[in-house]
Amino acid sequence: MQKNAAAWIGLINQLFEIEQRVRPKKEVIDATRQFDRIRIHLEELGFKYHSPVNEHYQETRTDCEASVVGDYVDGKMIISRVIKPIIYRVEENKTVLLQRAIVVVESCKDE
Amino acid sequence: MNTINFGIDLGTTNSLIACFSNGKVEVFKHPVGLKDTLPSVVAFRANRVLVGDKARELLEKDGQNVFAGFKRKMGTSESFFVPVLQKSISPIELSKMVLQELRTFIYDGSQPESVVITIPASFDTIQSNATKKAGHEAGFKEVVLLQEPIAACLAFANKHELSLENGNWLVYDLGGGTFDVAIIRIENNELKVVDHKGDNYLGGLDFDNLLVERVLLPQIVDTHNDFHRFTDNSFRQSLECQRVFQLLLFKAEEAKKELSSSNQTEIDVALPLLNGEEKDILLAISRDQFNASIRAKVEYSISLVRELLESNQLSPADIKQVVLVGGSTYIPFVRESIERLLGISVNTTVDPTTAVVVGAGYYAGTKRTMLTAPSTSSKPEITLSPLLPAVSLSYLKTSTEEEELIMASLDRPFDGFYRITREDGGFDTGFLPATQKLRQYVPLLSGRLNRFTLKLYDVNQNPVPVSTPAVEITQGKFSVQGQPLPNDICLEVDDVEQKRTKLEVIFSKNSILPLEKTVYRELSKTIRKDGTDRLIVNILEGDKFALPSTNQVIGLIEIGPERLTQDLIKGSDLEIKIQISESREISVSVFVSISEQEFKEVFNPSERYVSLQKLHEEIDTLILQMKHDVKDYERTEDFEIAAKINQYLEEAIAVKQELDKSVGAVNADEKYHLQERKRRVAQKFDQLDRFKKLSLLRHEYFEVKQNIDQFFHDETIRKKFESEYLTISKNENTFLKVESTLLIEGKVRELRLLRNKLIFSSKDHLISLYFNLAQINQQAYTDKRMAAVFIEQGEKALERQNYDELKVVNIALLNLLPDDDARKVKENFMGTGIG
Repeated sequence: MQKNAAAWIGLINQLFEIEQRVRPKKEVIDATRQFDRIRIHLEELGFKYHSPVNEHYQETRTDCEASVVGDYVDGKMIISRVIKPIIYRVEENKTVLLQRAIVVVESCKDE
Repeated sequence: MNTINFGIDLGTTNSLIACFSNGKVEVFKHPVGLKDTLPSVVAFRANRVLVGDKARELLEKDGQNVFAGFKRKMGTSESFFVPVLQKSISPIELSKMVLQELRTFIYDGSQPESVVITIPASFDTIQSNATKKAGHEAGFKEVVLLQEPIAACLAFANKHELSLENGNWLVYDLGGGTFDVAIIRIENNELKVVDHKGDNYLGGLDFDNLLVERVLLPQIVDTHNDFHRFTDNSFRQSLECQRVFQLLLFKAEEAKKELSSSNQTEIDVALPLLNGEEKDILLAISRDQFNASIRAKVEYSISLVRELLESNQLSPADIKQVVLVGGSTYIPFVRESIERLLGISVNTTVDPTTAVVVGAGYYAGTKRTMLTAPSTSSKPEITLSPLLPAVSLSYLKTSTEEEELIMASLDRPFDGFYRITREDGGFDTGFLPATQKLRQYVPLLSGRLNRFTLKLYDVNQNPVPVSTPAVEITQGKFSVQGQPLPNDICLEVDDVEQKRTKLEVIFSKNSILPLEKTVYRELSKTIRKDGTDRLIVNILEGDKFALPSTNQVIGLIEIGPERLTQDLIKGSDLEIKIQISESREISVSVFVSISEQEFKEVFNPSERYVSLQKLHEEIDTLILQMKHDVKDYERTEDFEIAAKINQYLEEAIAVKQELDKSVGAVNADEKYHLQERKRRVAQKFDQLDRFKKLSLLRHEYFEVKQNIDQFFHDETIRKKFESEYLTISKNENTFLKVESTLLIEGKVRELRLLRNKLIFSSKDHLISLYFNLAQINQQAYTDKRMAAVFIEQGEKALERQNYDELKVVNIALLNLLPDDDARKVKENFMGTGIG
């Protein structure tokens, strides 16, 4: 599995990108079930991915690589766009970060 | 001899650390960043210091408190005022912080006291001494300096085990943001930097910008009128435009990497239109377009090389090797341009990103330390010094929150810092000032065991040998209020091969409520809209090893043809979602993908669910099984058990008769009553039978194994089939102990299949099987004429010694033998429809 980790990461990134593209077109193509199922199979294989979109951003978040757009206001930043997701390798009792998310971060509009 | 072993590339843009051990250099990775490189950037926040990637993120946004490129200022009297700290900080102090951060990359706990640090060829004595000072302040007692171009040459020479012949080498170093070129002269195995030149503002980041501006933007503008605004200067200051540019820069960097190995690439981006919707566009970029956009910059770098050579009265022909350093030298156009414009061939076998640190590592591996102290890389023994604080921790071990508070108290005042990191690498507080009482909220990964490490550092941010226990917080999984399941919860699925149903565990006994799981299965049979078959989703509670019919039905969805919008084809997907609430309410939802129909029901555990079709089938299977077992026990003269089973058989037949009598007119109460009677008799039979069956099955298991072992005397057969055999018998001790007849039966079946394969692979066995089949009275075959034809064909195959043909004849003859009665009964198996 270790040997193929890069291929798995590549595969998950592509899947995530397809998911991003299809989601807004839910009225036309609803593939939510298929994506959910792929997620479950990936978890069976020990991989978990997560999109931190709309989550708060702090400098302590080492699971994201952020590009800051606009002003940086401590404690009031939010992840506005996710270019690549966070990928974890999940073993029985251990979680290891395989890929940091590539995100765009900006200050909360309502605050 | 004690050697230094540790090497650091303290770069302008990125820094790296490596260690020499057993003849090899290992470049350490960032403990929470997965990369070899640490950006040489330091950020000061209100209550913490960040070094590396997190600091770089803030570089453009908070330039006053974030510092990069300070290496260029080493050895100057310049200092940087940090508004957030209200004090000035020197380039030496900033470099010290980068070096200290690099020390945290050493994962094996070594605490090197000596180190080799690389410096640019351009560094004078004052700048070199400033680097040494930074090293000392970072806690290294001994700092040996090495010029970067020499380090790169050493990496190259070591990779190819080249002897260093006299001559000139050229080191071309094009990084993320800086460019340097140096001539190295080798004389009598000694390397010396003859001259160098550079530009501090030329590198890969410029290339990304050029690709966006000159290649991507013109294409984007052409695709839609709305995108013309991207060329408007006032719009380019807006947040919306900056967001798009970040995305484009990221995509450009990826495209740049791809164009290093292919001639053409494409970029997919979704860009905002004026009405707020996004338009997907596909941008094609060729390597030629990319090359054209960076040509001027690359040619400029080469003009600097040419100037350097000329000023040293050298011609390209005088250069023996060109060593490439820096990530941007991966670009084929850079390599081709050097070859084309200078007429020197370049060697591309050393990783240009790590060349300098690898060279520093090799040098450190041969450089003797002047320290007399114990080994430079010794692991410190953790001894609790009376001057150091003892740390006690307090936190909740389980939590359902997204973040939890870790509190630590130190038993005495401590002047320094602390840092908390999460094991997976997704959280790092950075250095925080320590007080006697520490409080820190930490984010938790949902549904996982989260491990955190708290470390203390002195005022110079060197680790302090204080033992702190690991913090382990489990999120979401266990709730104090949660009650455990008293029994296994299973789904009944078909065992098509065996023509019976079996149980698949959904939730194991003692799992904590509430629970939710989605299982994906395939339809095991075609269910026609105009037919009579039904799909039965049966959720049972009880022992997962018992017969399905002995367990209690707690949820049942029966989907008959009348509810279908189309035929359900065998093999199509089923999605079954099962939820059990804390109050034990069961929700089952079945999604049939082929018809896109969803069937949902909520079951209250106080009710009973019965399917008449299933009840019929279960009682038939039970009776068949009982009759079969009675025969078996009578054959083995175990009359006592046979009599007992006969008694249960009578009871089962009585249930069946009542069921048959009341076809179509069974009222609800009667249905539950019959179901309960069936379950009770099945349970009694299962219990009585299971022990006996288990011992018989275990006996059979070893018997078949013994058979197989005999085949393995033949070495060729053993080699061919041993791995399959080992896979089947793996964990034999465990599965034979489990009280599951189904499980052991499965294993016996697998072994029997393997034995059959062995028979068909062994010449002797093929022949003896053929003779056995040929001797059977031909009347016994279902098609006597065909059997005679095959027997004759077998005879001929034997004469020709064609054993492949004999194998086919054997199989054909076996197929002509009549089915046993039980098989016929099984033909009528309906099952649940879930495969």
